[in-house]
Amino acid sequence: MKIESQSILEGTGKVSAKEKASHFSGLLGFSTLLQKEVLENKTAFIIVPIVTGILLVVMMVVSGLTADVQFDSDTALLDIRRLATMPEDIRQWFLYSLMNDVTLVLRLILVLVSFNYVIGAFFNERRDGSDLFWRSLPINQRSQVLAKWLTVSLVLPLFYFFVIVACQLSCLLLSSLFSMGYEESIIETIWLSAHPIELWFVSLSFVLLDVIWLSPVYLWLLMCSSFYNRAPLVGALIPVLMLGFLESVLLDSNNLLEEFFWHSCPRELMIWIENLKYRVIPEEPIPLNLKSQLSLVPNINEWKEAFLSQRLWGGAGLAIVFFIATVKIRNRCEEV
Amino acid sequence: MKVRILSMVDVVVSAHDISKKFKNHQALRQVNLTIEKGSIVGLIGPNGAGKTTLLKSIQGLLKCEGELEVLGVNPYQQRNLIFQDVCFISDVGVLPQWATCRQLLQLTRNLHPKFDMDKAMDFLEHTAIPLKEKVKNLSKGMKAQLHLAIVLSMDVELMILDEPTLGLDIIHRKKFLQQLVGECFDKSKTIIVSTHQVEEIEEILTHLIFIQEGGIKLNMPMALFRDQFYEVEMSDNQLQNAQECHPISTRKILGKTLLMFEGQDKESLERFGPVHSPSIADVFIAKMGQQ
Repeated sequence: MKIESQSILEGTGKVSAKEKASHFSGLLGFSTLLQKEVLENKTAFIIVPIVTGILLVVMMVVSGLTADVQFDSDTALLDIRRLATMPEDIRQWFLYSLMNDVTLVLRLILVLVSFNYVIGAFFNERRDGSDLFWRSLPINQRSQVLAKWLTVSLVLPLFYFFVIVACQLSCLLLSSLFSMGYEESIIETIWLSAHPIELWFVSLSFVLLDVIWLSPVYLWLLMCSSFYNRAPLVGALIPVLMLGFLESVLLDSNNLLEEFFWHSCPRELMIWIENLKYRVIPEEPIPLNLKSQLSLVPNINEWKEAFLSQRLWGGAGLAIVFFIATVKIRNRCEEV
Repeated sequence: MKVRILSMVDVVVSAHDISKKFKNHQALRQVNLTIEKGSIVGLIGPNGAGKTTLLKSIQGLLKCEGELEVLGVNPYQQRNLIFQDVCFISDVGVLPQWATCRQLLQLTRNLHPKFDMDKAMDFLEHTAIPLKEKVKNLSKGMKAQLHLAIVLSMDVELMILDEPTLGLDIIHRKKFLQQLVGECFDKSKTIIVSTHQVEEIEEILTHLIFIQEGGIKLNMPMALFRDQFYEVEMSDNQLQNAQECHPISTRKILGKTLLMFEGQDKESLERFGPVHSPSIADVFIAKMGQQ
C-alpha cells in the first residue's frame, strides 16, 4: 500500500524530495479546516455572541442607572449594603449566581448554536453541493469529522467563554461603579468575594471538560448529519426517543433520556439548573440547613470528581464508536 | 505488492470490467477503458448514460465492481492520495457559497499541496472577478471561471471536467475552453471532459468515448475517428447501391440524402457522391440511433 502511495508522487517525476519535505503539512491542513468552519459560521460563532454581549452590558448600564434614580429601592445591579451583611460563602454564591444569571442567555444561545451547527455540519454541505468541492481536495474524512467535532466542542465554546468573561467583568465593574457612594468597601464586598479569576479558571476547566462530556451527543448528531439525506434532527431524535420509550416500558427507568439530556447540557449550565432550587436570596438569620448546602459554586475539586466519573468516560467510549461510524459513513459517500 | 512507475507506463486510467449498480439501476456495465497520459478525452453520452458515475468512480467517489486504477492506485481506497493529482469541475455549482473568492483561494492553498496561489491570482487578474466578493454573488460564468482558475492552478496529472460549461452562455463557454486549451497545450495534463456541447470541444480532443446505458459504445483516438466515419451526399438513384454498403444512418437535409458509413474506404464511397467527415455530434446521433 505504501509503495503504491509513493508511486503517484514519484512516477510523475514532478515532486522532488525538497517538495516532499515541504509537502502539505497535516497541522496546517487541520487548522485550515477549523478556520473554514469558523469562516463559514462567522455570524453564529462570532457576531451573535458579541452583539448579545454588548446588549447585555447595555442592559446592565441601564439597570444601574435606573437604580441610581430610585436610590432606596432594591433594583440596583448589586445592592452592596445587603451584600455586606451576608456571610462570606453566601456572598460568594450570590455573586457567582448573579454573574451566571447575566450571562445565562449567552449560555443558552451557545447550546442552540452548537446543536444547529452540529446537526447541519455535513448535511448542509451535501445539500448545497460544496461537499463535492471539499471532497475534491486531498483531505481525509477522519480530519474532517475531527475538525467539525473540535469546532463545536472547543472552538465555539471558547468564543462564547471569552464573551461571557467580558460580560461578567463588565457586571462586576458596573456594580463597583454604581456602589461607589456607599460606605462599604467595594473591593472587599465584591471583588474579594467574587473571586472572579478563580471562577473563570474553573469555568475554563469546565469548558475543557465539556469537550469530553458533550462528545457522545455531538458525535451522534454529526453521524446523523452525515447519514440522513433529509431532516437529520428528526432522524437523530427518533431512535433516542424510541429507545427511551422502550426502556421506560420494559425497565421502568429513564436513564437513556436523562443521560441524553445531561450530555447535551454544558456542565456549567447543568450546575445552574441544579442550583435553581436554592435560588433564594437568604434573609437574616440564615437557616443552617441552607448554609450547609451553599458549596454550590463550582470549584476545582468538583471538576476533578467530574473528570474521574464513569458517566464521563462511558460517554467518551460511546463517542469513539460514533466517531468511527461517522468516518465510515463519510468514506462510503455513495450518495454524493 | 505492486509498484508502478507512471513515467514508464504512461497510463493514467485503467478500467477492466467495471460495473456500478444503484438499487435497480445499472449505471455502468463492464466498462473497459485505458486513458494515456497527455490525452484529452471527450466523454459523450445522453443524459443518464453513466458519464457522471464513470467520472465519480475514477475520482474514487463511488465504489464500483471490477478493476479500476487511476495513476497506479485504486481511487476508492486511496482517495486522499488521488486528489493530490486529480482535480475536477462538476456539472453543478460546488463552490462554497459563503466564502469570498480570496478566502476560497487561501483555504485551497492550505488544503492542496500542489496549489499555486500566484498562478491563480494571475489567472483571475484577466477576469472581472472581484476577490472580495462572495461566491454566491458571482454570476454563473464567473463561478465557472473561478473554479477553472482553482483547478488550473493545481499542478495535477488528471483533470476531470463534468459538463463544465453547463448553463454558460456562448461567450463564457468559448472563454472557458480557450483558457483550458491555453493551459493544457503542453500535453503534460490528461483531461477527461464530459459535455453535451460536443462541437465546441471537437478540435481539442485527442480521444473520443461514447457511452450509452452504462456501456462504452465507441472508444477511439480522434485521428482514427476521422478515417473511420464518412458521410456521403447522394442522389436518389444511387441510394439503392449505397444501402448495400450498410450505412449506419440515413438522414435527409434540405432535400438531400446523407448516408453515414463506418469503416469504409473514402475512395470506395466517392462513387456515390461527395464525401465529407461528419461531426462528432452527427456520429454520436447515428451511433445512438443504432442501438
